[in-house]
Amino acid sequence: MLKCLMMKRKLYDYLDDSLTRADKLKAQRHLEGCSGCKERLSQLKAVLNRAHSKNVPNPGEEFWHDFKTGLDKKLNDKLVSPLALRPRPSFSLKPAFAYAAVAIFFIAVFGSLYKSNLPAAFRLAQNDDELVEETIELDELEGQAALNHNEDAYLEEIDLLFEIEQA
Amino acid sequence: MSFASTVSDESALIEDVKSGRRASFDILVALYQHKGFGIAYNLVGNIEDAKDVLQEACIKMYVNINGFEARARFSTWFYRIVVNCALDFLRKRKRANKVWVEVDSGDEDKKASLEVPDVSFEPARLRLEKEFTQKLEEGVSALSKMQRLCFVLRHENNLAIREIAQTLKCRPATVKVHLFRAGENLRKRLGPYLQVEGG
Repeated sequence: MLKCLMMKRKLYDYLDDSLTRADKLKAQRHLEGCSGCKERLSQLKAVLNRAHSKNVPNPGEEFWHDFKTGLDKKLNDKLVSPLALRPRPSFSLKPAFAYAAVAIFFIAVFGSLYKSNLPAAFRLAQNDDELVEETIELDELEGQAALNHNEDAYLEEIDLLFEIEQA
Repeated sequence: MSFASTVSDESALIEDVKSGRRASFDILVALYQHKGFGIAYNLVGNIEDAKDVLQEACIKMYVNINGFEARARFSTWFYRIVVNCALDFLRKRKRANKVWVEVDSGDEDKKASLEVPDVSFEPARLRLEKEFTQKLEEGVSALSKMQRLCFVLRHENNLAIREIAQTLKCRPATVKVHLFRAGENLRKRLGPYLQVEGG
């Protein structure tokens, strides 16, 4: 039964002559001894043979002349319409990626330059003076200022203040 | 003419079409119209509709030619357009289970779109063969979209599996699975007729 199931899956390839030589020999041996698979094979063969023998009509010169005339008319109608469908330039991703990369580069460059000109209140302290100033501001906050992961840094800044005062 | 020179001629034609040259477009259409017509006919089932589908595909080919990349095969790119146009056509017409069979009425310009019963005497086997062909058409129409496409392109248009995979933008293994399932579904559906066919 398992062999018949495997054979069923190979029937199409067997008829299409796309099995390997070894598989083809196995299939032939199985078919010699299995009437069910043999019948299934001949049924499939009949279907495919009939499909292959289906003729596409050959319409003749007059048909192709009409076809060409109709095609020219339809194409001219489209090309002269307000929304003229001339061959459209294709959109290629490669130049788009290149432009995007250049734009990102310039944004990063200008962004870093712009960042350095921001008022100190809008960015992290960049030097000792600013750090001290920030610390003082933190001390002057009413209530409990929520110190987060920078709590250790804050304490270090307090120590620094004492040292500066005592210096 | 060698294969290489044929390919380079075609590439030159494609470049001309990209420049908007209509004469080169006409040549390109003439090169692929028969094959494209065969695909359209096998999908929509009659000559007039196949003509409309092929015209639509050629227009789309012209408009989108700049989207064609030279490293791909033009034939598979164009066949994909034909397939998509045919599917759009079928969707619009809502012909889910309808089969149109061309019958030669004697007038080459006008082909009947409905099957005319043949009342003349004929052997039973011949009659059954005609019914078998019609049932096969109905069976193919009833397949799922991908099974039908793969089956029609492979067995009615003789495209290679790799070509079908490129046309439908899937892997060759996927095409094989669809072909296997289509064959199995048709075999089951056409059981009674297959005994007459020698199945």
